[in-house]
Amino acid sequence: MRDGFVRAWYIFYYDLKKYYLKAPVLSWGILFPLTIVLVLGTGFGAYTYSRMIPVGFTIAVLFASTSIVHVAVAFEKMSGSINQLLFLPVKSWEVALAKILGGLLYGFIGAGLAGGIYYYLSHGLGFIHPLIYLYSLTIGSIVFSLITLLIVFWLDPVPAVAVLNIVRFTMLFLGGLLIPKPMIPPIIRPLVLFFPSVYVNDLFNYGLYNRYDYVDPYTSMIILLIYLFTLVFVAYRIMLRILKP
Amino acid sequence: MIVIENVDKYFGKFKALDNVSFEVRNGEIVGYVGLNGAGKTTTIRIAVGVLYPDKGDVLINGYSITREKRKASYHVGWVPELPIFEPDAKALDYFVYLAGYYGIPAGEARRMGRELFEKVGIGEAADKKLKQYSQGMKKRFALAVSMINNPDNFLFDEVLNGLDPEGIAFFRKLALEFKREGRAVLFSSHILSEVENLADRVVFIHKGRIIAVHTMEEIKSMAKPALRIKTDRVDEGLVKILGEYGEVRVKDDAVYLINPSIDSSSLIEKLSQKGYRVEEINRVRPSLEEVFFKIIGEQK
Ligand SMILES: Nc1ncnc2c1ncn2[C@@H]1O[C@H](COP(=O)(O)OP(=O)(O)OP(=O)(O)O)[C@@H](O)[C@H]1O
Ligand SMILES: [Mg+2]
Repeated sequence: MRDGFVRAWYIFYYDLKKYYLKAPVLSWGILFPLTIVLVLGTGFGAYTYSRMIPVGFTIAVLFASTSIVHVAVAFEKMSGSINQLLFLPVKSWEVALAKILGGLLYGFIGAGLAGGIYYYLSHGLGFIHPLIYLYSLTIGSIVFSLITLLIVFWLDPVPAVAVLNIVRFTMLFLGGLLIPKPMIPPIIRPLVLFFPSVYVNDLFNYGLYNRYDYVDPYTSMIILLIYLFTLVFVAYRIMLRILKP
Repeated sequence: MIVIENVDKYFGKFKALDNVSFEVRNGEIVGYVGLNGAGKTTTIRIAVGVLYPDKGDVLINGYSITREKRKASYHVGWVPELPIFEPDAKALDYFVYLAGYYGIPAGEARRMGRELFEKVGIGEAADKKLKQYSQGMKKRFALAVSMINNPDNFLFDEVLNGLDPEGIAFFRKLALEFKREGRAVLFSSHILSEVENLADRVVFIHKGRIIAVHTMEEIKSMAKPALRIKTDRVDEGLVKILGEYGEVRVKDDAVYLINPSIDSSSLIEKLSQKGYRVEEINRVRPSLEEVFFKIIGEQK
């Protein structure tokens, strides 16, 4: 088990050197969400500033983590070198863990950059419950990474991009992010609760400003954990068998 | 020792492998032959753990590739049909990186890499990027990589493709060396003359099913002796006369008399009596190719 983590770290470290500056990571993972972060932070958004700041964080984390995971698997599938990786004496979960570590790191980078921007624009980052904020950042990054991992392992690289973008953009609009709760018709609201982004965002909201939109923070924390374990289970049971390198 | 047990593999609804079973013993070279799309590469990819079987399993030195992947992987070397590695990595750096997975420290891996590169004939290109490698160089690099952990089982998928004559000779020597050292070698190839030269046994696959497994001796005895005859003309009359002495096959500009019940000099005499001038007649060596077409032909 310990050796497994060491090997996962080894893969992760090599991935970093290879992929951290790749164009899709920079454009989709950093530039795009930071644009939104800026837009929200400078008040072009329709809602009050402090409402939009957690959203900025969520979007930054969502796009940063999903982009690196996508690239770190899709590029390897496209070049075919993933075959070599799977051939080596590693277990599939070690490969998966390495990719998720990348998503986690990028989630933190995304949040860090968003935080920097908001700090600079001095909108008073509360950080009332720093641990809850950190929880959301960590579990959120992992959940987003796992979703990406499933998509990109399951599908060929090109359709994977399309599906990933559908998922990400659906979350932007229906996942409790860009469209604030009061503007979402009540009939659609239950649908919103299906997306993990709602809980990540609510926890950011709570961590920063001690408030939430949809569900109380402890329920959010539990739901995110359920997401996490379900995704790990699905990934473990299905993904590795249907792998199409 | 490689044991492939009742392996099924589907791609969607298409059944690419149907209950494939065979083994490669220690100190044995087994050739794997079949038409394009028969399922050779799929079998090999499953056996090295890159693809998951829908049914069945593969044992490498007794370790299951599906359930004990890591242990099994330690004992197997693989040259893929199309060796693809990190295109932007330098060959030796990439080799060192791969060796890391086997717990070999970087310094030692670098030394070992240089040695193996020298052995497979890419010593000069150790610091080149892999995308600058030619097809044959990639095969040679893949050979070096397959030997990283000094495994006792090897699976070579069309390893001869893209190798120059010197490379082919090198591979032949290497395979025999592995055999002497008691390792198990499976190799797929379309170059049947090489399979014939090298293999102790041949496994025939057709449309995802193993249709025959024969030792080289069996193949030699199955391939019936034949006379290859060239005459001034080939017509029905000729075929009819020859038909009295064995099975006749016309191929290219020659006629083959398979399993002849007459010796060449009597045949020349008989033919000239009927007005055919024999320009050339010789015994042909029984070949794997002939057996291959016979076995595959029976399936069609
Ligand atoms: N990833 C895949 N998806 C769908 N079908 C596949 C896939 N890989 C192989 N096949 C199919 O499985 C069958 C067996 O292919 P395989 O590559 O094993 O053949 P092969 O014996 O190695 O052929 P060749 O001599 O051309 O290398 C073929 O019909 C092929 O189309
Ligand atoms: Mg093949």
